[in-house]
Amino acid sequence: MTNTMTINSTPLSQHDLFATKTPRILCVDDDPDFQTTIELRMRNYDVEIEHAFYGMQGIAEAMHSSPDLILVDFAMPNGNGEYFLDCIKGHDTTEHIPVIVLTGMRDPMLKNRMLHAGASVFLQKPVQFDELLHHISRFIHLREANSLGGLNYE
Amino acid sequence: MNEGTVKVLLLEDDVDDYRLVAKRLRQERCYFSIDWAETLQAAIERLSRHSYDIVLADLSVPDSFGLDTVSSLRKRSGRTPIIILTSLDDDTLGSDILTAGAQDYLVKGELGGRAVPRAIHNAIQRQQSLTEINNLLAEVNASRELLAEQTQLLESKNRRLRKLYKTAHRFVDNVSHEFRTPLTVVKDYVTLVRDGLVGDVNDEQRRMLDIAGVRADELNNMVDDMLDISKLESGLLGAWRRNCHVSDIIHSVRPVLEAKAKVKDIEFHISLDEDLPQVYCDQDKVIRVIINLVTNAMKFCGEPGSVQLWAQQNDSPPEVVVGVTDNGPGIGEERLSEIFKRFKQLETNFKDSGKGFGLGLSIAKELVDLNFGEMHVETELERGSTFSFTLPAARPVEVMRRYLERAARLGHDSTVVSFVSACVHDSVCESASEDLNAFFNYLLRRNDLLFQRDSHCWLYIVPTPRLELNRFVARAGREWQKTNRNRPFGKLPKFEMQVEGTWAIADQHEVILDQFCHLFGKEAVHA
Repeated sequence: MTNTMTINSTPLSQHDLFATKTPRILCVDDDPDFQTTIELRMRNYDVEIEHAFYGMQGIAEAMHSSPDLILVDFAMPNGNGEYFLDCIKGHDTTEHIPVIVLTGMRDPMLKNRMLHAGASVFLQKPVQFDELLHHISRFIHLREANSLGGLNYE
Repeated sequence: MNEGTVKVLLLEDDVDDYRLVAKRLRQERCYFSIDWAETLQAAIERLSRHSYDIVLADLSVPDSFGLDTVSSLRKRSGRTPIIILTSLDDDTLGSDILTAGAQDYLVKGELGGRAVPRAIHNAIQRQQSLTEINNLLAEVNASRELLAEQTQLLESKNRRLRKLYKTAHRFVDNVSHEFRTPLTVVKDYVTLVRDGLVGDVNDEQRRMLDIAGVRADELNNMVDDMLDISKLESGLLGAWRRNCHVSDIIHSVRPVLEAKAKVKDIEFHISLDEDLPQVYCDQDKVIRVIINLVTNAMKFCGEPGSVQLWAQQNDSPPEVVVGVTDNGPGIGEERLSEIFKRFKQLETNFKDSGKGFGLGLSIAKELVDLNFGEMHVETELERGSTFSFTLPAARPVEVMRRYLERAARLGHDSTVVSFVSACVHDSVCESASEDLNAFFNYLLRRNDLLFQRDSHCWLYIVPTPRLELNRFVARAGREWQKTNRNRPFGKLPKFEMQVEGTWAIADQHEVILDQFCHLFGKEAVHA
């Protein structure tokens, strides 16, 4: 759960340059209900959440929109997390994007495989939101949304 | 050879010669029954109808001449030996006769005394030996073929087992995943509502949602238990051991445990010694142990309940002790000895775990063992109980010592150990070294250990016999190529693998440890 092995972390200072721009997170998960929890949770922060519901869609989305951070599930139809990472980390336009893997699988070797494939963080579902938030804030600059309510999500 | 009667077929066109031979044979103590044929045709016909112990034949008969007679008879006589009677005493002819398939030959002028019966006996004896040798040879060939077949069968069985193992692994993982997916959503939604993210919640509602959340955690833990048990029982449970901080581990389980304590109205404290050394373990397994021990303590604590989770350092042996103390009624003598017995057992039988001894404790014990630690229990009636377990400090020699002890204790599937080092020759930058470290970790299989010797050398400890190490090294090469194909940037540096040795664990304990210390240099020896 806490195992945070940083392989491809992007230094925060780089993001500070774009502090005015709203960071974008791509969430790739085949469970729309899970996507909703992420969106609701992030509502209080100034971030944009983009969604993809299977591996290939996520890859296309990542190539197209170049998000600042990717959250990805492992077991998905049409391109699992491993395939997803291989594509993202093997392509020069997406190679630099940090990826957090969130999975309900419990295979210790899976964690090895995902970190080796280029994941920055490997977390198990159900995840403590504080923990997820902690890891997200390592890669993007999180600001609380204005007091009028989170209007920064789609 | 039938004692008493020796059946002889005599092919001879000369009546005088026939009589001579018959007379010689009659004088013998054992009985010879003689069938007389005057032509090859007649002899062949007899051979097809009767069985004989020996064929005596003249080279020249009315319907056949010379060596042809021998080869014709050979074709029809099966295993019956043939002795040729010839009037010429010629060594060349003699050897030709033998080459054509006769056992022996006799010169007609020398048929006096016991020459004929002796030649017959010798020929029969020789034929018998030959038959025996041929039989043995056939048997050897048959068993060689059988062996080859069995090897092939074994190989295909092994292939199937490897596949089955993978399938079983995947199946268990998938089932648990199927359970966890909806559970995750339930837990997340409950928490979302509870935290007021979708509208105001009153205190009563919040209290109930807390309970629902904790119950979802319990269910999640049960899925983990089931997964662990099925993997433990089928020997599929793998461990990924590496250097960790106990404080990080405890920090990550803290929220779940605190939520549980709050719902159950139990006082819950965590106290960690400062400057705890790093430990070497699979931290997910440690998390499972802590959750199970705390869950157990919260079930059996007093009223009002109080549970403490603590961690201390031990110097000798270098380890960290993690314990859970409750203020429950303590454990009676009988149950305590039962628990002790369970802790001492080599393998837990989970089917018996239901009675008086929590399933959680059984799993905890196995997981602690997987991390080269030990479980302990202390109890005082009316005062409470403490369940604790140890984790080896992250010192290679200490870890190796415990690894060997455990392997020797378990015996069955890990009787040998091999050292394989993986070294980079050129000096590499820090990030490449980190990448390699991740890569070498990725190569780890169940029950393998990996230590980094220095910035450019790693050492694998694998329970693999020498014969199968090629497979291990070849796989590393393949994976390296595959990884670099997928990496347009920051390719992994080249490394070389070398087998340092293979030993039997049972009787070479000291040798293995010495070799290990040697590889780790002076510092490790003092560790």
